[in-house]
Amino acid sequence: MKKMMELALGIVTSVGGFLEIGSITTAAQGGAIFGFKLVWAVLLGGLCVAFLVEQSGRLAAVSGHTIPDAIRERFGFNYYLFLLAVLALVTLLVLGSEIGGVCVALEMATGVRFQWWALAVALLMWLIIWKGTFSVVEYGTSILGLVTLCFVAGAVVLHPPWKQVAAGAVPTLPSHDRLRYWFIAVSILGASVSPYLMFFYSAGAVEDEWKEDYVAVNRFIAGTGMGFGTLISVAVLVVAALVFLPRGIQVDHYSQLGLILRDAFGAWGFWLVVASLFVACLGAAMEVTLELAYMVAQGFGWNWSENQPPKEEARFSLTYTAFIVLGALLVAVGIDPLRLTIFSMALTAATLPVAIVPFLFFMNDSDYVGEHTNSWFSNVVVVAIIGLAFVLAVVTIPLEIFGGG
Amino acid sequence: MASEQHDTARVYRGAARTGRGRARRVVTLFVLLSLSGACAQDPRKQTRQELQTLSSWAATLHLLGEAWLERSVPSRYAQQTLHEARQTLQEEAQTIRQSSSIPADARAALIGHAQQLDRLAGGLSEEVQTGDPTDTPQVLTQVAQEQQALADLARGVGAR
Repeated sequence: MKKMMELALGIVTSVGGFLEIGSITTAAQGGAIFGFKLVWAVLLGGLCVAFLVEQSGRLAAVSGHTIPDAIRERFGFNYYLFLLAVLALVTLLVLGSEIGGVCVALEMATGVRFQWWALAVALLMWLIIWKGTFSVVEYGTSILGLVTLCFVAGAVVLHPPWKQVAAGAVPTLPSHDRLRYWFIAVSILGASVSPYLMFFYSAGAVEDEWKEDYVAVNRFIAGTGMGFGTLISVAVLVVAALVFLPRGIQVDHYSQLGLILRDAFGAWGFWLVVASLFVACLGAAMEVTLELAYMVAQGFGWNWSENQPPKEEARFSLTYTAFIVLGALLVAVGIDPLRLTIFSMALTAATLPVAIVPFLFFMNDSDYVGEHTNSWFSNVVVVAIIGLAFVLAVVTIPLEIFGGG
Repeated sequence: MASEQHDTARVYRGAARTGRGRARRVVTLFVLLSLSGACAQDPRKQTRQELQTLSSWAATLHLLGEAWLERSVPSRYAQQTLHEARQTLQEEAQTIRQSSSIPADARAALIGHAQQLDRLAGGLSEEVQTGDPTDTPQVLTQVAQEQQALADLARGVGAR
């Protein structure tokens, strides 16, 4: 019974917590400019993340190791430090984007400029993390995050041409703006296959005290939860393709997103977008913050747990406090949240190989995963993801320059 | 485990050494490509980009105006979005004015459309501020005319 509850909660968490500023923005831009042609990128990203999340959960459940912890042990402290430096920098930009997303939602609702909300949002996040437990952060925001299902309802209400949507699952080149097409595709993949998601998931499995008998539960949660979550991203793309593309609206500014559900729900549409943006970005911002603190604390061997009082893990608490302040400062100085998001998603794609390559080693090492080593199929998929990650790393910067538009 | 770590480190160091020269060439190529990209903008491409941006904001003004008329969006949001639109349109006019790669006649036409859209956004903004939508349908008709004019211009330069 307990496992059934955890299963249900895990799926709800994956669905409600799937959308964040990167996936909303990149899917909306993709749909607004290229219609259904980038459905394949969202699906591919979802498939990759489901595989990687399942493996990070399996690693944590069987070995009791989180990913940073295992990386330090298996590859040495120098590689861990290199990974920390690269990922912390990029993830900090992602944190800034997520905080920016919450602030933009508040700007839409109140008319007060987003910069002015940065410190208030930072304080709210800090209070929830400081006072709350892992369950409050993860389940609380994810259950509220179910509001993002409004995009799925919106897509259904607008009656899309389903055959064309399905045809978008097969990559085809557009007749115009090919560089921009590839740039958005890379950004969609960067938004989906974020290392922070895998790192956070493995830390969550340790926080929730998963053991070896959770391997099947983990597999089901990763597959089903990420599958449904991916459908929400597809729905954002579909709605943008139906509402923005025929009118010629590109998503050049966040404020334009406020109109995305107007055709489907009238006046309710605006408030659903505001609520979705607020909850999804707040949840993601707290997860990213915790992931940054986990990554530092787990690598350096400090006490870490969101379930312990801050006084018992002062360095962990100080680390997340510092990251919240830094993330909020990026927004408070007035950096455009949309540009920050697109830039950080592309950079995330560029840093994927350093985060993903270690999986191939852990998941085939019986010292870590016992009898639950990868099957040949899983290894083929991970190698394919690593290959994709290398391609993304190589093409991201030229695409940023030529296709970022 | 320790020897495995040592081997892994040695493999990485070896790969790093052999890959260093290649990496340097790739970085140099990226820098050269970036510089050439920055220096030599295709005039048609830049004109198309500016047209897309103007058309996108014209369509946004139209949809926003309709939504505000139906009370589907709050006035505060409409006001803020109109402010963003005006700021972007003014920046676009400035960018187009300074662009040497856009032909002079296209530049003049684009600046004219950007300024006209800015004026229309200003008109909408005043109506939102006063809460009086009497003239809004008329402003929206003018926005639609601008959209049409931009579409005609886009066909002229071969945009989608």
